Amino acid sequence: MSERRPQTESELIDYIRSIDERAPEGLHRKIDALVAERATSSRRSRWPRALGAPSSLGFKLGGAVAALAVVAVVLVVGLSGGGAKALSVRQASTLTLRAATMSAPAQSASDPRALDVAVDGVAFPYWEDRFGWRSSGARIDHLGGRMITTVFYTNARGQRIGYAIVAGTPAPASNARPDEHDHIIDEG
Amino acid sequence: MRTLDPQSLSQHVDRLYRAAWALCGSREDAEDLVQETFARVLSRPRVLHGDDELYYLMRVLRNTFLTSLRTASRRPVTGTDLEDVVAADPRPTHRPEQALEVQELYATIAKLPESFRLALVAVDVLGLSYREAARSLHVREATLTTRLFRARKQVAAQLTGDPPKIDALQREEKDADGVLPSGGQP
Repeated sequence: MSERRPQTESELIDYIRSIDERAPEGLHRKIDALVAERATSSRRSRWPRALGAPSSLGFKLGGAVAALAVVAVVLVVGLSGGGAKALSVRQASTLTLRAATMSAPAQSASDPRALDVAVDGVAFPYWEDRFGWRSSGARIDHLGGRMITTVFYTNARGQRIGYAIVAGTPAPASNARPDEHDHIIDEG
Repeated sequence: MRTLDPQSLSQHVDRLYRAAWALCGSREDAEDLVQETFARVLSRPRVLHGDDELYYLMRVLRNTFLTSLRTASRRPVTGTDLEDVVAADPRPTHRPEQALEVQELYATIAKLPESFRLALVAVDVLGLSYREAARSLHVREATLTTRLFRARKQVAAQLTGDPPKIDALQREEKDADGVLPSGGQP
């Protein structure tokens, strides 16, 4: 330490300006959640009208979380490319296991089978009456330049599903596969 | 005039954290201060009048910091139990010898008189221009320059083992609205 200790004011200034200590990850996550909440609250009034332009959907993801063993089930639809697939499975499924940062979206007034939230024209499903899974919260994240919207569903037994839709570019018809399932089990 | 884009704020977290750490002297307090600062900024839409985001964040950081100081000073002082004592930060760092210096440096800055500390943090830690720093701290540019000069001098003296006496620090803070002594580095 003594070798690098600043001896003059000039060295001190250089040293202070060279420090690149990064903030803890926990703080980054908290700030991201605050930013996402702010972005959502200003966008919330537009969510019901976001339906449309379904061809711009990148892929769709979902995860299920039980009380002790955490199980994420990832569903990929309309795959847009190899790189995007890697992002979706590894990172987006992680987001479905995180806590909600926003209030639960309500049932859509125009479509009783959907919630009031949509990403690039694809609405989140309404599952309460048919399956007993009511929406319990939501969050928005940004990964790799894509916005990932996650809605959480909870049933009477306290189990939780995280359902994420990733905004992205449409898949070229020749490369697109109709659907793809990926199952991730994480013993929590 | 433009509206502050919440998404653009995330890029400033690291710099604001370093500034908060130098103001508070502890990582834990710095985390709280940064979180509180962002919560304030994001509580409602903000309009920037041609200002840089970082300048705006420094203003809010300063206000939040001063508010927390005032709140803490009004709080009744209680004794500390053993279980309240925080253990040393267990987080690993990439370069241990640098982490030690950073911690020591920021702790030294945090011991400066408040006005000196804010000046040094705004310019040297956060990287604002003199003009931006002076505006964000609500002082004249000449005042900021003087405070900055004295702050640097005091930190350098502390780190080289030649610390000024407390009464000398207080006298310097009182005099800091005066003229910059010759030889000050801008």
